Amino acid sequence: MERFNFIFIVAGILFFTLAFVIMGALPLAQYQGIDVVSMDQIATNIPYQFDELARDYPEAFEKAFGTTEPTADAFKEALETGRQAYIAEACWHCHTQQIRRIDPNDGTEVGHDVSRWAPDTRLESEADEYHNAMNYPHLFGTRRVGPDLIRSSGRHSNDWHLAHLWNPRETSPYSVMPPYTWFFDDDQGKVPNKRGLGMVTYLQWLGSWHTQFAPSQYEDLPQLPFDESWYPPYVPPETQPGEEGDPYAEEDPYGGEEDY
Amino acid sequence: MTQTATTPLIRPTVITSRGETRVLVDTTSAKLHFIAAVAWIGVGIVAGLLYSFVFLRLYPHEGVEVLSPGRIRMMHTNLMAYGFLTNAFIGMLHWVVPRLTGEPVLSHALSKLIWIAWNAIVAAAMWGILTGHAQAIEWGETPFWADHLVVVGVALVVINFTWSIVRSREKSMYVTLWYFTAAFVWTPLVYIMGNYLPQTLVPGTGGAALVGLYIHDLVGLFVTPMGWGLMYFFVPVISRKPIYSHAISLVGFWGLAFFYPLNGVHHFLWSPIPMFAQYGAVISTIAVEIVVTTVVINFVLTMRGEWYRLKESIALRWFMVGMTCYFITCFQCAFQTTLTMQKVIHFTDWVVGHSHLVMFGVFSFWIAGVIEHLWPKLTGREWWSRRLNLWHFWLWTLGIALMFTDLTIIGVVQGLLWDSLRPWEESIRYSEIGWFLRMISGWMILIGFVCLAINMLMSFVSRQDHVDTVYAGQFPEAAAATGVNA
Repeated sequence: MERFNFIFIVAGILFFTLAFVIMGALPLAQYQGIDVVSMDQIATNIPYQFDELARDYPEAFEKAFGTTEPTADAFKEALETGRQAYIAEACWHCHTQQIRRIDPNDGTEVGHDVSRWAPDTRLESEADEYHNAMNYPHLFGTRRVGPDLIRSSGRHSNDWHLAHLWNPRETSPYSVMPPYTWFFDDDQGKVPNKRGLGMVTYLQWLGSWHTQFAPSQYEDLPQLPFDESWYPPYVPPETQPGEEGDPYAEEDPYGGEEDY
Repeated sequence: MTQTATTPLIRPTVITSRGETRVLVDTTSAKLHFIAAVAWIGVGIVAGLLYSFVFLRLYPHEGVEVLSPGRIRMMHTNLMAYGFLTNAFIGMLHWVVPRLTGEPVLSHALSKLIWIAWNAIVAAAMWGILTGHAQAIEWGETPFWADHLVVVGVALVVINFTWSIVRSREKSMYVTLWYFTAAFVWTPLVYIMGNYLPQTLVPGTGGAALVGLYIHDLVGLFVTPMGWGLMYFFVPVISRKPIYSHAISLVGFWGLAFFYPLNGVHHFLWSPIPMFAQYGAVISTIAVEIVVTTVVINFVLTMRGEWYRLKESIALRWFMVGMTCYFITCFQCAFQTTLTMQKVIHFTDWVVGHSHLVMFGVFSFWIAGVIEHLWPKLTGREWWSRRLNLWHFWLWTLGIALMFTDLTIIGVVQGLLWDSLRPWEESIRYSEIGWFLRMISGWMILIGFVCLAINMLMSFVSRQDHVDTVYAGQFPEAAAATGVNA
């Protein structure tokens, strides 16, 4: 057991291969036969925010992508640019892209992911969401200084994202995120360059594969009759905000501001 | 053949294990690697400190694209792994391997070439990261084009040292060499698996499983075997006592070899990776901690009756404090890897504290011990100032103690605040004090590093000869301590 050949073959090759099979190849085998979604397939479902980018920043858009129309080719290029910028700036070291399958409302005692990051859809991350050309390699992340981003599509407007990239504390006063002024062509943060547009496209794409509606489409939704029996009975809270006994009244860290 | 005190710099030719008369140890290469390692860790510490400013909303280089904080962070971690640790380990290998095998490395000229090539690769990779060519693989952010060069570099290192082990005619193979042999196989395999497959062949979740393996294997299958290998060599040599138990070191080695490669997926618990892999990773992680305990016990029993030497030998202090940190890390890991605890502390600063304790508190400390022990022997000059070395030791020890406790505590605070579903900004505001203390610990580590650098430089300049009492002659005491006929 203390011979070179034995250590080389058993410890070096055999144990490593065993671990690779159990921990790498077997999980991989779960996705055998599932085709990787290509960029062309991704570009068949362009989020409406990309149309808005083309509409709101026509000159920057044309300079970046050579067209004023939000075409599939422009979208693919923007998405790839955004992903590359996301990796180059190591965004993934402070923002995760996974909603773990834990939530107190799902019966576990601790954990928060679903309620915090997908409070409306209650969708945790599934493997097929990552099985596409935008995940070579995956961007799960291992640290959350800022919010998770896998459901970020539609959470904020394009303009919010651009303002946030220009100076994060304009939109999020307590953020520690550094400004990314090189995503802009001017010195006021009003003209995004190709990377800026790409980054917004990428952020608005993350999670866009789940149903979302453009504001104009809300009018077309079928109107359902209101049925009180669908909802649990309303139980008024024991104390009202600001009243005596409200646990948060004394220590509101936001000084009454609510808008962020 | 005899090395006298008055000519400490002359490397004597010795009779090798095959009966040839050769220069055994290439001290120039060892020295160059340690110099490079210390230079890179200096840059790396500054990078880490700059990054810690960002959390206090201080941006000393705001608006400078190449110094974007995210890029600085990648530079910090990659410089520590490839600039500092790898260089220091190669320097250490140059000293240790020929002594244990009785055979020189393949070629001393190749050793020089490796030094130039490796440091050029590191510099190029840093340039790539700063100019935005990073790769999105944790611990492997070196640009994809640099990965090919790294593989070639690693292959050269492996061939150079494996040659020495294979050619050896020694009757027994000392435990240090088991670890090194295994690491020589594992490191290229791990690097190729982690940097190539997720980037080119395996997207998304499957790739995440491989990246998990890579993150952990880089620590477990490259850095850890190197670290324990050097411990098994230097601790008996300095304390002048053979290792306590051969049987326990067998358990430690084979346990590590079997269980450590299975751990990787524990970096992505509760993710979409299949649960069987996650359960397996948790169980084998806990198994590793049991194995680790046997190794630590072996060393504690080796040191029995020799603890008074800590007063005299700062090198031994580095080794023992590092080993204590190692035990704390692994003990902590056995708990934090459980699925229940991961719900709260995953993604928090707890993990950052943990990784600093491993990479800095353990392996950087052991390397500091090696430098402390070897620098006078490599240069032939006595340390310029013992006081500065003590400052270095205490600043780093207290620095990592502060950083670890601080980050662990705010990690729990962050996790519980997130769990309470209160606004995200609240967790940031509660973390601010912790991030401030982390910056203070960063300053302590930087000042400690400056003490080391000044001392290394001044002892080189001061020209006070070092009298080598450990490796004098044909290293009889080292041979006696390790039980190998060097």
